[in-house]
Amino acid sequence: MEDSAIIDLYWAREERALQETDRKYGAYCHAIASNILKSREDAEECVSDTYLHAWNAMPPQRPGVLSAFLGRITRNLSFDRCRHNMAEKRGGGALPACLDELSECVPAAESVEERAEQHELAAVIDAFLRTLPERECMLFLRRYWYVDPIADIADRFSMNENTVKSILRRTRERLRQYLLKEGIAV
Amino acid sequence: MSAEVLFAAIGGVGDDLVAKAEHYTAKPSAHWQRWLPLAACAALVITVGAFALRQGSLSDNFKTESAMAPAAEAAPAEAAVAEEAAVEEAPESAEAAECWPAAEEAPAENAVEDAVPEEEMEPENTEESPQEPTAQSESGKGDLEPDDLPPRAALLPELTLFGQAYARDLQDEDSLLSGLREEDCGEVWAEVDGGNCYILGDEYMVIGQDMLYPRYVVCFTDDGDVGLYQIQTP
Repeated sequence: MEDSAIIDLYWAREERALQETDRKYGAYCHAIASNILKSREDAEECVSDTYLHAWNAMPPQRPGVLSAFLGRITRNLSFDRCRHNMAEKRGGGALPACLDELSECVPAAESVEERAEQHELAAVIDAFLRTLPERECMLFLRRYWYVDPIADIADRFSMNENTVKSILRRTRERLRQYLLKEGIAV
Repeated sequence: MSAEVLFAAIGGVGDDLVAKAEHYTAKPSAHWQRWLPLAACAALVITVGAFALRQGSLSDNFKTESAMAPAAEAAPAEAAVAEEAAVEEAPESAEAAECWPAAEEAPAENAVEDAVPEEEMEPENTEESPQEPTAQSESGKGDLEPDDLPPRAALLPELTLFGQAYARDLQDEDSLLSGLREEDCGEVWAEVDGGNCYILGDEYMVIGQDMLYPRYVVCFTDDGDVGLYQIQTP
């Protein structure tokens, strides 16, 4: 079923929208959740919560790219669940390593919180990603948006893992420089 | 936690990028592409090598020509006189050959002198001679008369093809002169071993039905000799 038809089902408040969403994007959302969360049960809960959030969001929203819309919800929910789990010392999947890597290029915490709202930072990062070559951009997103393991990325991009790590390291450094240039203190 | 802020912010990038990354799969590099740099280097080496060899060959030719020049300069003075006469006649003969005369319009036998008036000679045609004649002419005389040109070359009809004829210097059994009739500008006779022969005068011989050949030619050879030939019919 086309995405527009699924969105129409949401807007028509038909429960079949959830079934169609699960049929088309269930595995996709589950993969994102599983990358962030260690527990399979937690991931499944996040996917279910994703459908609920989508049901509540449409209407009024009409996403342009349904997969990105659902994936973003799943990612945010999984991230929240992971933080909750880490706070309770109940494991954190691949996210801790991901956050450690990102901490290399993030501006000082107080500077970011003081000078830029999160959506502004997202806009800067979006602009930065569009300056990258396609391969580096996609690789960065696979790692820090989809939270793919390095081995999976290496397989997807037909590289060895060291090459992936090297590219990611260079991209993080470029992001750090870009944030500096944009006036976001490192 | 600052990294968490960044992680959350990355979640806000454009949907198009996210959707593109969803299905993005880098194409695995073809196996043959690993050899591409090596092949490119090999091609470069071959090209440079061929160029160097070509340059070396040209340089050798230049040295050979340079070595020949002093010998030509030492030629006797009278050679220059005959050479001048030959050079002056050559362009005229080319001009005369611009239009082949019909077979029945072929002039009488001793028409060389009449056909080469000095006032009609064009200096620029002299430059068309691929080799400057510098050595002594065969006759060794300043002014040439038809009598000075006894038959010195014989046509070789067995080698003659349509549009191209061969002749042999009667004094040199190993020589081979060839002439190729051209569409617009008459005929240029060339020695097989180098040099060029030009039609002298406008006297032609008819051989067979359609074959029409000049009776007199002047030849400049690669080794600096100038030869005046009356072509002898077979």
